[in-house]
Amino acid sequence: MTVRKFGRRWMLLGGGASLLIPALPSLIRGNRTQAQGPAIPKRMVMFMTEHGGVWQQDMYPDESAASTSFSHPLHTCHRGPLTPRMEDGDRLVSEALRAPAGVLTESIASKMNLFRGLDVPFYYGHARHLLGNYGDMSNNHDEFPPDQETADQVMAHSTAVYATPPRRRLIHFGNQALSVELVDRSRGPAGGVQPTEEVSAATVFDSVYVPTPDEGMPMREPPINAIYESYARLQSGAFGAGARLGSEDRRRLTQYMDRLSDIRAALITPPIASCDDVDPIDDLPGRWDRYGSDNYQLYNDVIMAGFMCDSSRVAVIRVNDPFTEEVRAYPGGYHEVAHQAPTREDAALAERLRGMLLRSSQAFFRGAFLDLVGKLDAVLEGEGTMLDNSLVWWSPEAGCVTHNGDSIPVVAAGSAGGAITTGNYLDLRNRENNPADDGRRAEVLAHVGRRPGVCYFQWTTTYLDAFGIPRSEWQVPGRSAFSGMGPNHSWMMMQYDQAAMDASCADPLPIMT
Amino acid sequence: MRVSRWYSLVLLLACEGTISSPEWTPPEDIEFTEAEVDFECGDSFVPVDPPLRRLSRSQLLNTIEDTLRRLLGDPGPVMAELDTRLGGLPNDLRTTDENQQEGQLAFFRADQSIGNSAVEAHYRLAEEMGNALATPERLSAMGFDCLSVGATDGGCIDDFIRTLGALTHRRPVADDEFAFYRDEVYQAGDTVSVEDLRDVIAVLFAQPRFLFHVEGTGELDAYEAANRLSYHLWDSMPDEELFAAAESGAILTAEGWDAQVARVVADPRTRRSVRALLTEWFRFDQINTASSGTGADFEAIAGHLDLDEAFDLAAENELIDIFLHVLRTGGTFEDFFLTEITTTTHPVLASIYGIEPATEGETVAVPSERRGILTRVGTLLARAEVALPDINSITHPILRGVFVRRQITCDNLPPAPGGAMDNLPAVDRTMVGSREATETLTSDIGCSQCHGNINPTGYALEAFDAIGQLRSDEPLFDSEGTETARLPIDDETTIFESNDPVRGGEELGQVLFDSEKVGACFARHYVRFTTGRTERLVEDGCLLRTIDEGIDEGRPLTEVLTAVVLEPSFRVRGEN
Repeated sequence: MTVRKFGRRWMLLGGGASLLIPALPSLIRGNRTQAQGPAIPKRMVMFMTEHGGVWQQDMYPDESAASTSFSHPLHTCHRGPLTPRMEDGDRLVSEALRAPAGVLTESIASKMNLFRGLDVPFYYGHARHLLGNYGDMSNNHDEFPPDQETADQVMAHSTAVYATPPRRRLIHFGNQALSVELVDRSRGPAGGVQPTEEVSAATVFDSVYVPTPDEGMPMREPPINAIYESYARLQSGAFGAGARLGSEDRRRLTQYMDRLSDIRAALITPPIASCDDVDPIDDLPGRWDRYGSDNYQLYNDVIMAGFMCDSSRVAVIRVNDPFTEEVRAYPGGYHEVAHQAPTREDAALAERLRGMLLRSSQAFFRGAFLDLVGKLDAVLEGEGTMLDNSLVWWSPEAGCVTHNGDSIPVVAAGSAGGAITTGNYLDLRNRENNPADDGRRAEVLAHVGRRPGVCYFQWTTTYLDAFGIPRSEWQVPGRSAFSGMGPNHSWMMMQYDQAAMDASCADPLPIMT
Repeated sequence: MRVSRWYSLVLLLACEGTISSPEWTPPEDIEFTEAEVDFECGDSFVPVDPPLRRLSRSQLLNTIEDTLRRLLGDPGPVMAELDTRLGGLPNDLRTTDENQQEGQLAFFRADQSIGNSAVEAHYRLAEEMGNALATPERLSAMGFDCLSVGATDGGCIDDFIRTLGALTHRRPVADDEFAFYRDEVYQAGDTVSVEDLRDVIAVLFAQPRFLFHVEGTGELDAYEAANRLSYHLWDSMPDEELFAAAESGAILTAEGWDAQVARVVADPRTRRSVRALLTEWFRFDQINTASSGTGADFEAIAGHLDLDEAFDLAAENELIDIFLHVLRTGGTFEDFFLTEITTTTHPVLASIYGIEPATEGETVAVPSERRGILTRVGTLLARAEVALPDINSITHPILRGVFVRRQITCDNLPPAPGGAMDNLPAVDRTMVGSREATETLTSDIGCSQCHGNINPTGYALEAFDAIGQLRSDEPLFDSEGTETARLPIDDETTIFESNDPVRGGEELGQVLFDSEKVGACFARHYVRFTTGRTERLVEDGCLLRTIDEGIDEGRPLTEVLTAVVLEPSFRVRGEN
């Protein structure tokens, strides 16, 4: 693996913020060459931002950009090449997907995909549904018990992603749980599920970065084995008092031991690739501080360290920073901006808030998404770059009407090792079905272009297929799609053929693989 | 014109709907029901304990601090050194379980999840604890000068393991456990090895007895009982006296147990548990804090006050300190709920009440309109389960009502159905006051089933503005913060299907207390706090009734709280 053009180039790739902070540190050293490993792994990173609200006309190119029709079981869909344009030194895929041309390079733009019309056809409040679990919806949808782990967890525990246990199965950043894990993997869903807790960047880095040992200095075994043994002996009753424990007590100890096993695997598994191009951290807190408020660039660097050392291959980031001062300063922050944006009574306020949402998305796109994508594209790997062998994608928590699930944007980069075609703009909406024709509520329709689309979880199938995850590892009895779609709430003003949607929900997106 | 939309969020927390939407009908399973106020204590009672509870985050932090205090005297330097790792311990989440009423949130300490992140955080913390403690200076401070590097002193190593082990096991280390640490973890024989000491320390801080409440089923043994008592009332490990009572067996006698209960409840460390209890009961974590107030309208009502984080904390501490004052002075639950005093030493908080601040440890009488905890800033600030807009000049009658009906009277307020976010009637908040706006927004027939019970309790508190200042009229503002109107306050309402008028927070508190719902509700909260799980009306009936009766009969709060630990069931662990 070759790291190319680090240093200044890396800094410039860091997005608008890093252009202003030339001293922004990176954990990754430049101009070093690593040995090429025998097999090139695929990696995935998912960003989920706040609960939607970016207007469709800002998020997506015009319909004319996707003019080639193709059939879908639900309705006719459209596609076109993702063709960015230049304006004032910026390259634009859409207004929201805009960045300086040196950041959103031609190369990166050609490796992107944009999907419009991926729907969760009901109102869900807040949820982690984008990764496939409805358990944390703030609305009461009893029809969706939180009965499964999320797709990132499926990947993190699949031998298709890790042939041997990695140092870290999953990197999870963000203080609002996004990833849902099985409590007791040996029992599957019957053991229950729980949200994954946040882990500090320092802890993640410690687990993915393995410094090259000094020659002649034997590595001391970490105390993890003894800790594991202390649980095992209590669990088995070898420590006398253990005999009084109940069977469920013992099961809890087993659950803890399972997780210790993961840590043990991480500690004793050497990285597959060399970590030589990743800066060691001698003074961790001090070094972290130097990132200032650029948390997401820090997260990206830690993810890069994990990828470069091949210590981890799956990462999810729950983003809850609005990225602009104007949104932070607005009473209620992003939440209120998103909620008030569709107001119909005050056009001037609506327009102002629409602009704030747009600039917030642009800043995230530049400062976090493209920061990582740029870093990945700067690492030569195989015949291309690390980005080519990865899939980085972003969805806000909701579509253009906050909390609503129609046309939840998916912005992706990378082909997952050629498994996913790139350079596509897919418009999966039914252009013939215009809810506005029914004289529906004006405020819901304030966003131009709202149309019913297709099942969001077709995207889930697409990327799980791209990583070679067998369906048997995620399909549950009675449901072929990754997650249920449930009844359409009529007030969302969308008209779906529920049966056809259910039937197609497990299919990968057409033309993508 | 300033049109309010924040109510849409508020509605998410209560009965909500697409108001005035022709398509929307209220779901059939959405129903407000009054909480039980009488509990049965039958023969079917059996203790139900969750399997192998882990320490809550606050318990773990307190235990680490107390362990270090016992070892080093001053835990501060090591706590500071480990700050990053301590901060990395996952927060407990409010979780639900199958026994829970819809809409009721479980306590933090009911969160028993064990995730990879938590286990990893424990491991990293333990590793760093080993690094932090296995230094010559710290070993010396612990009284183990004999462990200087390179020395040969097997007896000293033995003593170190037994000393640290007794603290991290919270009981003496059994022989088989000692042999494991001494021979298998510490592999350097009788030679002192810093690396091996680090490993021993790391293992002792990561082994199950440190991170979990390890108890056998059936009757608790002496150390298990001591631990249960101290974690219940101190949110931390036993002190030396409790350990001594366990070692002698005195704690298993009726007299010995009663004596320790009386001592522990009178100890200042009880404040930790009271904070934990009241944080859960009053949802301090969900308060929209006064210091986060923004906007020109907020400036107009609160610009003259210095509202910082110290003020936020003082608002919480007031309730905690009144509770402790009542506890220490033999007062009753009624004395707390309908309190006529404050303990606050914070000048801004006191000025809001129109009084001088109390001196440390003393109390000051409050004006009659501030009688009862419902009239205090710490309860008047709005709470929400989801992120709220930052506080502004607007009171939140619905949120205040939801808080009272869920947390103070424990009524069954189901979560809101979808749809409130769209198509709300427009309300011109430059001209329409809080109460009328709330009426307009919830007037749909589909909403009245819930909001008919929620809103009135909020209306009764309308004489207090968004940050709890008393007001006789309600100022309205435009988006620039210019006052557009000033409306008279109407805080008269009716509750509980009674036509008797209730006016103001003081009367509301009295009516609620007289309904016996408040005491019954507190009993539920306290059982949740005690057991770390949702209460069960049948299995916990005796416990609930004991607490509830104690309140209804006006027994001292100390007796009410200690009645739980004096129940024989407190020292028995159910089978699992």
